Amino acid sequence: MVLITLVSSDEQNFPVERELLKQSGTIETLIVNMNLDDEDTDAAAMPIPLPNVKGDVLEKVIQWMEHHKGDPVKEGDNEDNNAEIVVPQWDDDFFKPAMYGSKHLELTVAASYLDIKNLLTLSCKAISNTFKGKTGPQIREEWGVPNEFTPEEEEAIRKENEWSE
Amino acid sequence: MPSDSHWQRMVLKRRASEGHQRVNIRGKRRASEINKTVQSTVLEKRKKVNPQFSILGFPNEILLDIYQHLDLSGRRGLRVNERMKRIEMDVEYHYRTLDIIIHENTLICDKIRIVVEKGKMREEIEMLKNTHFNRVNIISFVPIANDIIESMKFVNTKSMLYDYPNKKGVIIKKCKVNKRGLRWLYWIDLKLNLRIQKAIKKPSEFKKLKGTKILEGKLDVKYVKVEGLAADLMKAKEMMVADNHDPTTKCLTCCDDFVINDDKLVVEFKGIHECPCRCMGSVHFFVTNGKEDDSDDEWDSYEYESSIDWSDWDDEFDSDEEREDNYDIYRLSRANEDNRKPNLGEDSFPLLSLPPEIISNVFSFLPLKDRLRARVNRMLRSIESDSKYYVPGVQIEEPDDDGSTRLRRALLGAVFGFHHFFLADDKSYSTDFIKKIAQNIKIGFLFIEVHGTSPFHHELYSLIKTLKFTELTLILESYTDEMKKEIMADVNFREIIKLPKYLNLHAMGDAIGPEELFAIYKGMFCRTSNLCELKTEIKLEHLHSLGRLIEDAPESEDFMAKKIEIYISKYHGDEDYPLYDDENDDEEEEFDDDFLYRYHIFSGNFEIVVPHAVTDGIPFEFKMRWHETEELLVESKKGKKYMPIPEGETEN
Repeated sequence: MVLITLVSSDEQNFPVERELLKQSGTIETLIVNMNLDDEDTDAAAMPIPLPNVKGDVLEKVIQWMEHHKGDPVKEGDNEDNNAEIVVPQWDDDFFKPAMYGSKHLELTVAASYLDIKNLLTLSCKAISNTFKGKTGPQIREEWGVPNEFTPEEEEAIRKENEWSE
Repeated sequence: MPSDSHWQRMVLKRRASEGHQRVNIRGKRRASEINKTVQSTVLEKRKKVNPQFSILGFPNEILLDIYQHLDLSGRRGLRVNERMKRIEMDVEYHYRTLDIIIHENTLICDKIRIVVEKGKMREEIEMLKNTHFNRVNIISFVPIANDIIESMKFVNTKSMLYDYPNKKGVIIKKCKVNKRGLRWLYWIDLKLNLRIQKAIKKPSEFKKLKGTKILEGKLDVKYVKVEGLAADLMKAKEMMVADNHDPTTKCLTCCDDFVINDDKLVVEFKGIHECPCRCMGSVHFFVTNGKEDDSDDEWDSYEYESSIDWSDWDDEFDSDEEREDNYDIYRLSRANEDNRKPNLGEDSFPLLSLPPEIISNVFSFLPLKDRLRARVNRMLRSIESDSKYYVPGVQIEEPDDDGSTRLRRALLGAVFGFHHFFLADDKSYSTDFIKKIAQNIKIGFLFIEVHGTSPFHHELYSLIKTLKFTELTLILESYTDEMKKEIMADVNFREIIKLPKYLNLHAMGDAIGPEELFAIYKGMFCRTSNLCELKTEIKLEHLHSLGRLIEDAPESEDFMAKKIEIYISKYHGDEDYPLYDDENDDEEEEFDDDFLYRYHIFSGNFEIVVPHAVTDGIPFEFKMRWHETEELLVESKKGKKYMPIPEGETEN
């Protein structure tokens, strides 16, 4: 089993199974460019630095990738009805403890940076689920979003949303 | 390398020399043109000789990043040209928080301390319009004058003052508030709202908060709201407390009565408090587990992060003088480095610090209604508007008299996952919704059922014209024949039916005559319209008339000019079924009474579908199709029985 070492921004080393890293477009590109797949290359001696991902976040990302080992990787964008995507129970449990916490934010940003499409999709879907069925004030309250609309803008939004209420 | 001054001299010299030469040589060119030419030449040469680093060479996103590291004065100083000003003021990129602190005659803003002359505070605050922040906390040590409150509306802040235009207000962020502070606030009759985002999990911390003993209670607290109210409201609030009073959970402090109502989710803590200063006031504490307090609309109006140190809760002032001398008990934190970057270290999830593309991704998972509702501030609205979305189905309906159609369609929509929008019965709604979804939403299937031919309907069609959709179904069931004809004559309606790829005109009756059908046929056959399939009802006499119109058409529009093939199929509902098994091609199949049969008449890629048996005067289903590819054409013929046409009979 080939192990590739990922180095987080806080200098923590994470030896990860090569197979798992196929889920990350960014790391996969690096592996190909660094010829880490070559038999002649000593992959262990060439750690991959990930300066934008902290150790605890990377650990969560690896945990997620381990669970989703072998899942087909989503290819490109399409016109699927994203609203119908369902977050599997395991992922729901995985995201839920940190849903409104900074860890979820970091995990989502890391998924985007590492180009892990499935993780990004599920993470965004999990966030979007928290918006469902909520009114504007409820969303603002839950997420601490400031309402900077002027009364006129507020009225324009209200009129646009009139049919959706 | 030459020095700058040397360089400038060289440029001036060369410029003079070149300009002079050109004037002598051409003699007719205007001096200004020459100067421009010379300037550009000089600049070109200058670049080659001394390639200078230009900040304007950076893309906008890098410049924005640079802005984030600058204090307010730096930011304002960088407004060196229109582009830089535009970037700095771009609402879409407002991510940061700015604290403006008003302390007597001093305005402390970001890292800048400005001593403001009397009466100039408003002017200074107006200068902060559209600064590069998405949240501006106005913090005051002193009562705020009404004219300043007015100016705050223009600062890019979500201000409580919109909701309370007649109130003076204070927002305190990351400050220490103690009893003295609260009393001071009562004294000056200000409204104070604080919100704690960090959960208080231990009862001991709650004790600190209230300075009282806690009985049973689960104290997983997320938000705390503290509100000081004017004395005239006290009685009403007293009644509220009395109603909720539960002797089993009553707690006493040295000066206050508190009532705790505890259940699994909410701990509500209310207290009546006598202000020792000039008036009677009341203070209410709502401690909830992140749940919205529906009974209090004001709750939603305040969204400020705060942390409060309650450790010196029991501090007392000995006199009013001492109180006034201690305004600075509000130790306000200024905007610091942590505020400039997404604050990932805290428990809070700064949703707005997610990159716009991720927020857009989040939006893409939401059903249309939720997506529209999620536009809760300018940044989110901008991101939503800039993203293109695909919505599989939208139904726009005007309710009929008995509401039965509404129910039926609503159920149908629910089954297929369509987004359902009803027009209000009295047509008092605005049409802004259509304008909004026309901006960035592509609809798969659009279903419209309206009743009437009023100017409103004309406007409605003109708006629907702006939507992007693939399939359109128009139901005109409740229209009289005259109304249907009127609709067909509507310019906007005629435009609409050219837009989709698939068009279903339901219950058209006589409104869609041979001329209208021929116009649609021409568009499809000559590929001047986008339409690939029309489904409607037609009477036999209209079909004959249509046939004659097609026959008389020029060759380019002539259905008969290509090889005609006729197939027959059986169908049920809208579905075609194979007429016979491929393996038993030679077997003649007997007609099955459970099915209806229809003819498919092909001319190249064009197909006309009519039932096998029709009755004079009764409309029947009629389809025209254009098969975009050979594969689709072959697929369409599959399972249908080919019927050879005897020679010389094609014209029939």
